[in-house]
Amino acid sequence: MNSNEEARLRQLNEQFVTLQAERWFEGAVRQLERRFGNQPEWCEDAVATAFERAVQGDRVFPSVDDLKSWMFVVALNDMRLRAKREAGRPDPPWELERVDAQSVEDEALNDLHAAVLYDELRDRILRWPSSRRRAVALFVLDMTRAGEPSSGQDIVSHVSDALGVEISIQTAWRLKRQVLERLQDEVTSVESPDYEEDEDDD
Amino acid sequence: MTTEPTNRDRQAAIEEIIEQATILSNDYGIEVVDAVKLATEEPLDPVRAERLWTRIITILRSAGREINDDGRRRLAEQVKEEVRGVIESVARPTATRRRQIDLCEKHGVQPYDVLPIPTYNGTAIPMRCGYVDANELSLWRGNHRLELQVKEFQERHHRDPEDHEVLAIMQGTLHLPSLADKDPFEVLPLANSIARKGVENPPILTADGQPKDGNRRIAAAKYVVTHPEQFNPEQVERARWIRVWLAPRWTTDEQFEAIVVSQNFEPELKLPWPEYVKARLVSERWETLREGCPGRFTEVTNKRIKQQVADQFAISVGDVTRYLRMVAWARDFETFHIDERNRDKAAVRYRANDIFQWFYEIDAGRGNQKLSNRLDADDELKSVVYDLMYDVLDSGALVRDLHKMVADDDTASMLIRAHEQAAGGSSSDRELALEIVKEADAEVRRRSIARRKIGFDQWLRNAVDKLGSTAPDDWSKITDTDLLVDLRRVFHAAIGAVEGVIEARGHDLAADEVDTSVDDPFVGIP
Repeated sequence: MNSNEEARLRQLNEQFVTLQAERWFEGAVRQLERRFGNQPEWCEDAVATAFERAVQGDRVFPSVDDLKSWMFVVALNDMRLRAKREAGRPDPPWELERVDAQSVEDEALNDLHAAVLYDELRDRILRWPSSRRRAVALFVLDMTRAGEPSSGQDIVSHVSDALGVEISIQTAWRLKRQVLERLQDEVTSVESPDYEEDEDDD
Repeated sequence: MTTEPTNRDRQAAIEEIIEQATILSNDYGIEVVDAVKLATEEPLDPVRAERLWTRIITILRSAGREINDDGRRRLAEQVKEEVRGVIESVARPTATRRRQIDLCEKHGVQPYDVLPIPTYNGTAIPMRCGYVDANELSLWRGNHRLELQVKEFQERHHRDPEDHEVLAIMQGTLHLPSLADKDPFEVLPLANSIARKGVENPPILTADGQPKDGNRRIAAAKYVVTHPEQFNPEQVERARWIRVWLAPRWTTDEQFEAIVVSQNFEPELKLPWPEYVKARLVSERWETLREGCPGRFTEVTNKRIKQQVADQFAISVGDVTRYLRMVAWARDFETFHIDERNRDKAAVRYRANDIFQWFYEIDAGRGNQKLSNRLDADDELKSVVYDLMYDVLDSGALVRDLHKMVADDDTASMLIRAHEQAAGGSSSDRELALEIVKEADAEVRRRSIARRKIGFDQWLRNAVDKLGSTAPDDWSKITDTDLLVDLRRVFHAAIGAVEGVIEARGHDLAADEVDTSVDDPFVGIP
């Protein structure tokens, strides 16, 4: 184990002290139960699985609040996917890509479908005139494909890194909402509506 | 197999991406913060908390470490200690532990996913297969099969039956007035079968062990396990471990309903084996065991072998005896027609199969009157009977009466006439022959009635002679007690019959009733 990994785990252990004292995991389970009431075991599993992903990846969480937010979103998305599967609805293409391949051929086809869809969305986004919307949309798309949350703060950091522009977290939220709406409209409409390319207000 | 996505698939995929992106990029700050409050207000019960914290602390404490067996043991102790600390740090609600059924490995079979995924009434439900201990299982009181009995229990006791009471109802050991039958669900024959070969068709359980299908099998297995005095240790162990299919935790009530409907309403289209086939297997097994018996073959040995065969095929010893006799007669019948009549072997076997039940009727009658006894001693009679059975007779009832027809000279000659007629070989010859046999049967029935009448008249005449001049009110002077006993028996039966007829004609016998107790000549006679 290298020193970075040691430092990361040490930090996680320190953050865990807070989580343990607050018994936050139990609260997260209760929160999920409110949304997915009839599957208490799933809720426990989703929270524990999110923690496992947090520990096993190479993610660094600057604060315990970041860790909590990340885990909650991951667990919530996990529950959403389980509920969808139970209802017989299709998984998103890159979830299939990750977990559901039945054979080498299936895996290759799933990869291909996911890649085709991803490229199509990416192409659409790259044609947008606003650089900030492009940056936010591509970031959200990439994170979604990786199954990773993209919080307002993540978006702020990304825009800063990619464009050298500082935006507020409120602007990050607004931009994110706008790009998702636009993406949805574009892919569901035959003709793309005209979007007013307003400048951001910060 | 994945196929090229359609436009609809593509649209659904894009919508899913947007939804996932929305979820993943949303801010749940309030809920994340509220989780701390909820943890204080609604802590998990001890069982769930222990499960959750054990997993979480294990993940953290084992991260980045390579652990050997010793380390794993130490880690487990450390985790246990930490978990206990968390659990005890707060007052928790009473555990509402849902029973967890653990599938076991048995006979070298590890628990496995059932493939292809079973479909019930059009619904695919992934199942896991493995063994469970019958002692761990309770019956499902909501089983439709038990509905009436559970309802009756509730009405009589004003409560739901406990698990052991549901089992007792099913096994027939808990008496409900409406259940006259001692074994209303026929659990005992099933228990014998399970003792011999285990539960073959796996019951279907909910994740917490409730049998949604297979209640009867489980009740029967439990019967074996709880009656070691009736079954040997090997049988008890065999019945104890039941191979089951475990449904996933998320299986809905509707899906279980689909399972129940599918298992009970859809026909299995399974044809039972012909009795001849079963009987032959039983007979072959008996012969094999007999051949393997060293020394003299005594009746005791025979009984023991029959018991072994009965156990193996989950039938009674009486069934084994019956099958052995029937197969012996069937073989004799086949040999006769193949060797003596040069008939086609296959055709003879098919005929023997078709009329197999008749070989049971051959044994009708008592003692020397049995047709089977006469056939053994009279080859000519055997050829008549076997030929008629092959070509002419059309029902077991005629075979059942053959011993009476053979016993009477007139009807016996009718049988010979029928045999000669059938020898003509045409279908009309066979039809005529059948008519003759039916006439003989009708005649023998008539004669039987007439014989009883003549017998009664004759006996009565003899009785009057023996009574001599003794008046009916002075029968105490009669020294022949046997005569009095006979009188009592015959008169009693005759009076009963006479009363029945008189009452059927609308006559009020009670009005004619007189007190005869003082002068009852039969008082004191056994």
